[in-house]
Amino acid sequence: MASDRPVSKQDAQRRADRIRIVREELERLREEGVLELRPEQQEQLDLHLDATLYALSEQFDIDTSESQKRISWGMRIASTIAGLALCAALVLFFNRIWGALPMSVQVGVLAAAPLAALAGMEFSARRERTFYYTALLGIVAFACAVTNLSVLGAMFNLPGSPWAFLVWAVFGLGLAYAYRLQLLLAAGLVCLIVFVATTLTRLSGLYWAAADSRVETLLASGVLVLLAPSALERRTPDEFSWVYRMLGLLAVFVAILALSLNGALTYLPFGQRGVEIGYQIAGLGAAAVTMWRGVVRRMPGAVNLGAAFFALYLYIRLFEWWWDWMPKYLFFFIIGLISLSLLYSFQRFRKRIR
Amino acid sequence: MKRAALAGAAGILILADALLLLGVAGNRRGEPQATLELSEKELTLPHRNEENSALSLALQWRERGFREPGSTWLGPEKLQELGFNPQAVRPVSKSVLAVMELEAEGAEEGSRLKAVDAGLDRAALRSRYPDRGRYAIMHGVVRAFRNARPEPGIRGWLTITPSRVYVPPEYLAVFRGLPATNYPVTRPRYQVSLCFGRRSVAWICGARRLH
Repeated sequence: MASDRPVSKQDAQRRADRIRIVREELERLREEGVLELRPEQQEQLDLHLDATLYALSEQFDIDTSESQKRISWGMRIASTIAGLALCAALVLFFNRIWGALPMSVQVGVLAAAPLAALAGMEFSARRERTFYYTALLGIVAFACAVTNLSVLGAMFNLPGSPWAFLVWAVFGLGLAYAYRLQLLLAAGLVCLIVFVATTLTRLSGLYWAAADSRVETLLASGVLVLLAPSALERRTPDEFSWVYRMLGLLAVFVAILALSLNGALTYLPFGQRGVEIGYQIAGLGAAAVTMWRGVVRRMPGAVNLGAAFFALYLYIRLFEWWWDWMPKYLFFFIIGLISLSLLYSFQRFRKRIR
Repeated sequence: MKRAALAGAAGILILADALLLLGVAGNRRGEPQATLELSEKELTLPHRNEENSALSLALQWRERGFREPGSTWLGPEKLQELGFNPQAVRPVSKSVLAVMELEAEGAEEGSRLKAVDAGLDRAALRSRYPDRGRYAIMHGVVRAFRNARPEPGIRGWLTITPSRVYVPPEYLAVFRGLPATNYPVTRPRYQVSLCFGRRSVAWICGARRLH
């Protein structure tokens, strides 16, 4: 039984959801006359489930009903909006008074702001279990860290550097792992993807910010982020894996999309048209494999993302091949037919894996 | 785990700030490597609003021979010297050091600052252009691309990074109350001393009103 004990808030929430479903199903079975527990059995079950829910709620502060879940979502959205609004307020306030501060004070404010927000996070985290205020302060801390290096660079007229993205990535990932905050994990991973892509560009002898002119670097950084949870298996909380997966896949799919549209953005020593065709085939293949792996490994996010990019790649191809010469009604008719055939294929696939 | 993550987050930011400030101090150590006396023709005043009390001036410059059709000093030979492959088919960008020359007063309408050369070795460029009141070495990016006209071949396009210069608070009074620059600048309203350090990074080391 020890292995069933939840180790994270997500595990605990899943257990609570299962308990709620069991109760609803038992109630329905009783109404349909299929199964009715004896009063002492019912009492024993209620006592056990209530005690379990109470323990989970005490330890992880989870939602034990649908209404609580809806309110929690509202609180999460409110805390994100509050974080973004506070960042905007801080930036606009400092914009307004910046010129009145001596240079040494400007540097001091920029250096101290992210560390003060970080201290605020720790202070808040020690006083709440839900981490709504901690997450809010996390957004402020990350924005302060980005502002810190951006503004210091502008104040001293420094040319841009990819190393800033590494600093922001480590800062975001550090806060994300310390307090298990997915939004900061996503922010840190986006910076990591940019750092890896721009560093690979620089190592290939090009100007670092020209990463958008050789998009395979984005493809490589996407693959790296995609594979990271497997390498960090024991250190990556369950709820983080899908963030790695989704951002990694998004980087890979966007890179393939760009290369399939413009073959000049490649390192490969082939003709532009050949590169575009190669990546068009690779894109459809990668999206199909993502859907299949997502279904087999029960990853709904990966299935949806794979399906979205599969459709996007396919429709872009059809548009390029047929739009100019085909009557428009025929074009849309064929798109409709292809969509129906995709729907039919998905239905059959769904039945097979049931 | 939590303590290590927090220490890593705070530590990398402190380290980055320290390295950045040490780099700035290293750049400004000793005598400036060059000092250019620029006017509103070269450093223009952007539109401002009361929400932002900080100010950065926009650097205006041109390339040597920009008025002669088909003429550019960033041709195949110079690009090869900068490490570009003249046979490359696709556009390529590289970091370079650009030599900027400040022409004598009244030589041209518009900016007197022009890019005259580029290289990868700061010392070699400085020995080729020793006049520190006339030539400054700045960070730039050259983008090389293949074009068909006027002559088929590889050509370069230079940009200077960063393209704005921050005004330290002690010089803000010089620009207070001035509306944005009107083109062409026939009567500059201010003069700015732009110093360049050991790492070719510029900073404003003086400013005054002209009228």
